[in-house]
Amino acid sequence: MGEREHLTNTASELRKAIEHAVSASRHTDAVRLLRQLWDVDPSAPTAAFLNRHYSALASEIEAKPYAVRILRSCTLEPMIPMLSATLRTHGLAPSVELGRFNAYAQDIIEPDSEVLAGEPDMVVLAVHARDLLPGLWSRFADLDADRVAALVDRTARDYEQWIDAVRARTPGVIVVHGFELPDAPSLGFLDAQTPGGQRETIASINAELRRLCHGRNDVVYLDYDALVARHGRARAFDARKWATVRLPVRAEVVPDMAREWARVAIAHSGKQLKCLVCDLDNTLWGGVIGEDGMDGIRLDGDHPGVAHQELQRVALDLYERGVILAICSKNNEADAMEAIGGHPGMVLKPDHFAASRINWQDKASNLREIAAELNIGIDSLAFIDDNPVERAWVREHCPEVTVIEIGEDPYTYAAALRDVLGFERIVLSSEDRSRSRFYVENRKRETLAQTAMDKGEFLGSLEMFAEIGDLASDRARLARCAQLTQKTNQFNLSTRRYTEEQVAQLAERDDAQVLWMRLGDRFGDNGVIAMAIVRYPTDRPDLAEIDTLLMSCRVIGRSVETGFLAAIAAAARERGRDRLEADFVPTKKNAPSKDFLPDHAFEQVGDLPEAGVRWGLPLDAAPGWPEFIRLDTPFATLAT
Amino acid sequence: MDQATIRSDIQRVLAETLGVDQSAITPDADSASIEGWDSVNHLNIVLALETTFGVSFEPEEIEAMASVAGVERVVAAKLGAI
Repeated sequence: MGEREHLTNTASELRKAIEHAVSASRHTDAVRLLRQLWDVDPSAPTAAFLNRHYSALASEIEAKPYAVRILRSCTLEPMIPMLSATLRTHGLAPSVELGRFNAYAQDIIEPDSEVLAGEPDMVVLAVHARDLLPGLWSRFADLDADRVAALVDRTARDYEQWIDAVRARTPGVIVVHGFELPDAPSLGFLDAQTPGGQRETIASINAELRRLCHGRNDVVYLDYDALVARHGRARAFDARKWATVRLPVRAEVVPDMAREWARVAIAHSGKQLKCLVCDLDNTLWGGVIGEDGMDGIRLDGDHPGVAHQELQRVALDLYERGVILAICSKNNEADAMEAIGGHPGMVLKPDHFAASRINWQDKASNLREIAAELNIGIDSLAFIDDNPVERAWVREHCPEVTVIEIGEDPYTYAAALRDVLGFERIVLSSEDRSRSRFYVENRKRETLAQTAMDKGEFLGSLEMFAEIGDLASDRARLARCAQLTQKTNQFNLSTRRYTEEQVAQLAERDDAQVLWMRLGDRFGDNGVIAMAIVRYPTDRPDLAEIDTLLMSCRVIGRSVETGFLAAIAAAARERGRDRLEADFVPTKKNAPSKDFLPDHAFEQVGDLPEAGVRWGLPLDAAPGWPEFIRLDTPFATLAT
Repeated sequence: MDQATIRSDIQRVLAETLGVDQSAITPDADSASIEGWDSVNHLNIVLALETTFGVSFEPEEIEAMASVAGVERVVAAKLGAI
């Protein structure tokens, strides 16, 4: 592939390159180019083009099936190809179906309605104010206060029933659309001066819906009014399209609505991005530090430095959301570090970055090194760089990396970063919030490891402390436990994914137990870093089966895994069992946990399909609690 | 925007939305002769053309767009190219 193709960026050139790659069976190139095409031209014809090519490539690429069902009051057909295309470019194999037109209530309530069959991964409740609340919407002036209050109350109760009815059909994520506020309320200017005015009333219904969603696991409120407002309330609606085909938005808003759904689906499906890798010159600041120097680079609160400061502010928001930050820049390291540490305009500080590669190597190699150093998959990196040649290079040589498409105007960079779908989260545990800090602390731990003399001395110097608990007695850990099953790829014996609902059910059962472990050390608290699901089959009173055992990779190699196994053994002993068994199911990513069972004296007891192995261990051969970890609260029969 | 560009944009939008080769988008082709041209795709075509050309079609115009020639006629009239 020549330099010309590196720099292809118009939609028509990309389409040709894709057809060329497909006919030459260069599937990886085809997928890379398809992703790029979608970044460049997210239009309806491109969506059709993409969906067709992805379907043809289905047997060649790995994608996670993801079923979306949309229950609706109005026409949403045009959004479907756009949603499918977006999900496909994020590694999912979507099946998207709509409920019957304006029959959402029947689709929800009928216990055997077809559209909710098969436990879909995501269900959207897209009901328009014009359909559900015609009185509030267009005849508000006719209604007295009591009637308004009754409508608000009834709507909230209907939604509560509907959400629970959908939940009974699927453990998937439920997305509830809020209502659009009217552009011109019936009382005009006076509406805002009147208690219980039209806009206030519809806003109060939205507040009720938000409250319903927040009180439930995996139920998400979609701020539909904010979506409409972003396009301009008057511009987003096309009265002719509503009158003739019941389409609730103008053509140009169709992709944005699909994108809002994709935000939730991607966050929920486990395809999130974990790390943002930033270029420095002309990205985090204006100008080139090696040439312009500390005084010359543009980074302050005024034009033009403010555009770069705004980008840094968005990156800091992501850091607070748990996204790891890293640097990849072609520079002299000393110059760059002086600016990062000392420039008064820097919003980000050296302690926000968990890894950096400031050198003259090619950026694809640097990105691979960063992923390896942080112990995360290369496909969980996003890369932002003002230089189109660097972006093209990374796209080609690290096609797994999400390359953020930005133009030449620095004022657009912050918005482009804010819009990256993979950085969305639908829940944020305290572990998530602190994740980016953990990685920075880890960098310090590794520095210590290099100076400590032997491993024992190193582990001792970490001053680790742990807490182990049973989820049945501490529900506060539920969201984090479920999230670990969704997101952990590397140290994960069976890679079985569970929703919050399912984990909650397992924790309640007599024949199962959900255990978690929290770990801290002198550098900080890592939060809950391991969880296990243990089953106690009633027909095998001697046996405890480890259904799931997983651990965050950043604590591996510190005897934590041995400690957690000791805890599982103690729990099994307490239930009168005397044998542990566990399956190792190999995946593309879980090689780091492959030797865990044999290393802890498990013996092979059988083979499973697809190269899986069942391992067993008599409980009296299980390991004891490791010496370098202090157990803060007593657990089962563990010696402290 | 000259007439040739408009015509080729229309061809591309129709071919990609309907999932057929551009050579199938002949002036005499219509919703009866092209298999994928159902009511859902008709709406998709209308929306794609509205976005591509920055216009908004009247219901009467949308009805008149059920053939390739009809689409070209309506778009051209809308853009004032003829």
